Amino acid sequence: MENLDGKKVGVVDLLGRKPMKKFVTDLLGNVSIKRVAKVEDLLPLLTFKSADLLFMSESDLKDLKKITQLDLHVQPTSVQMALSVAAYMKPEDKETVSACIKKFDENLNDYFDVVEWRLSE
Amino acid sequence: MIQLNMPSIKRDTVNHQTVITARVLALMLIGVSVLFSHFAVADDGVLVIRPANEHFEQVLHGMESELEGEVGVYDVIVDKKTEVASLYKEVQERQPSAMVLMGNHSLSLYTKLQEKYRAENIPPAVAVAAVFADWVMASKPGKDRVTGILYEIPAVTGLVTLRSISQKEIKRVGMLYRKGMEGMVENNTRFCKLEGIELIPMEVKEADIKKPKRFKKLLKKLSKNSLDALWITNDSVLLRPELVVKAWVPFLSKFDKSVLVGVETLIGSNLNIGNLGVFPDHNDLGTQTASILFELLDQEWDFSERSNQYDQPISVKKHLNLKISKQRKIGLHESRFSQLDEVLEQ
Repeated sequence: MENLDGKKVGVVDLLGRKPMKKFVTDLLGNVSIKRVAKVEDLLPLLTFKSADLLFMSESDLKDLKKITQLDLHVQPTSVQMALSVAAYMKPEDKETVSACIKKFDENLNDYFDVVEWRLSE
Repeated sequence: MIQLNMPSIKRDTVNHQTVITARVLALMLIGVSVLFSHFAVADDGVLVIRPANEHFEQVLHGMESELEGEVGVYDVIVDKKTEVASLYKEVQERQPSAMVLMGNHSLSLYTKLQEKYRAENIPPAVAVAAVFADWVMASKPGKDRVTGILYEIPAVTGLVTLRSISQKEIKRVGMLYRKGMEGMVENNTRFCKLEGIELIPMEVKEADIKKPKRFKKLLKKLSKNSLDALWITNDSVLLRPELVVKAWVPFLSKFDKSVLVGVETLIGSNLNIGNLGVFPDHNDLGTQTASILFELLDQEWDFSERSNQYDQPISVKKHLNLKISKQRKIGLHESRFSQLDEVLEQ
């Protein structure tokens, strides 16, 4: 992967300012980050040159390509992100949370990049 | 009149009594800051100047959530009666590292503050949610001490969505603008070009603004440019009630293309003007403001790199008026409506 030192990287904020900065710099090196709350806000970062590049999942890139005609240069990385996890706070909520997750439709699961949910005790 | 909201006070319960409590609290803190002045100087805090308004509340909320625990926020509510001297007193008492100016009235108060007192005694400021903030500040002497986020959503943000949900191509988009707005037109033309969309701007002369008939003729002339859509900017002069009633509405009753607007009232079915509205997401605008403040904090509040520089707003809300779209027989991909925040059917 090319040296990204000093570049501004647009990312969806999953962890909060400091942990997200640490997470991205651990993976990409000495970069500054531009955080957004929603995936759809990544495109304006590029259009308005608020970011030099975006760090995103393959599925988000697929969606992005459907709506933009920007001349995108894609650099795949070997970064593997952990799986999505849903948890309950109280044991009595187990059934309610499980029932709710079972009702997730394809669109919602796509959003989480989930093919199938498995219950882990 | 000036009100001070301390961060610890719930805003929805702020009344006369809580404001007085806040003032007492503030005085107590000032006492401490005299005793530990070095600590007070090192402590990072921003002074927010804003009118009481739901949208500004949302910006503040988004900003505070981000800054919590790292940068203190002092919230001062101003109105038309607010005197510059009382604002100066707040600045002197709080000694903020920077100010956040929400709305055009706050921007105007800040300019007066700089004019009345020595500019170097007034902290630099971040302007948000102010209409044409860069244009307003361009002629002011204190412009170099202000940075911010523009309030106007660039056309490209909405047009990319419009293109995605439309069955028909969106390649040529018309717009009207007044003299002096060339910079805004230039930026929007550039952004649209990146997405393969051609903006067709047409200047409105003073005489056209004064006479709705002439204005309507100009709209007709613009529409003869093989347009795929129209973009109406948030210029209150071009949207004054007489022009809306006597020019925009009659013209658009015969216009069968998409119209992109940036004001919520213009997307209502009763007016039959815009079928796609793109508005600022005020909470996220607060988050974006916070990220500028963090950037400045990292630079030890040195504004030189950001002086007179305004970022584009990133996060928006997109509303589609399906009823108007259907009336105009605009074919849409309903399967792509998940890109929208709201679809109005009535």
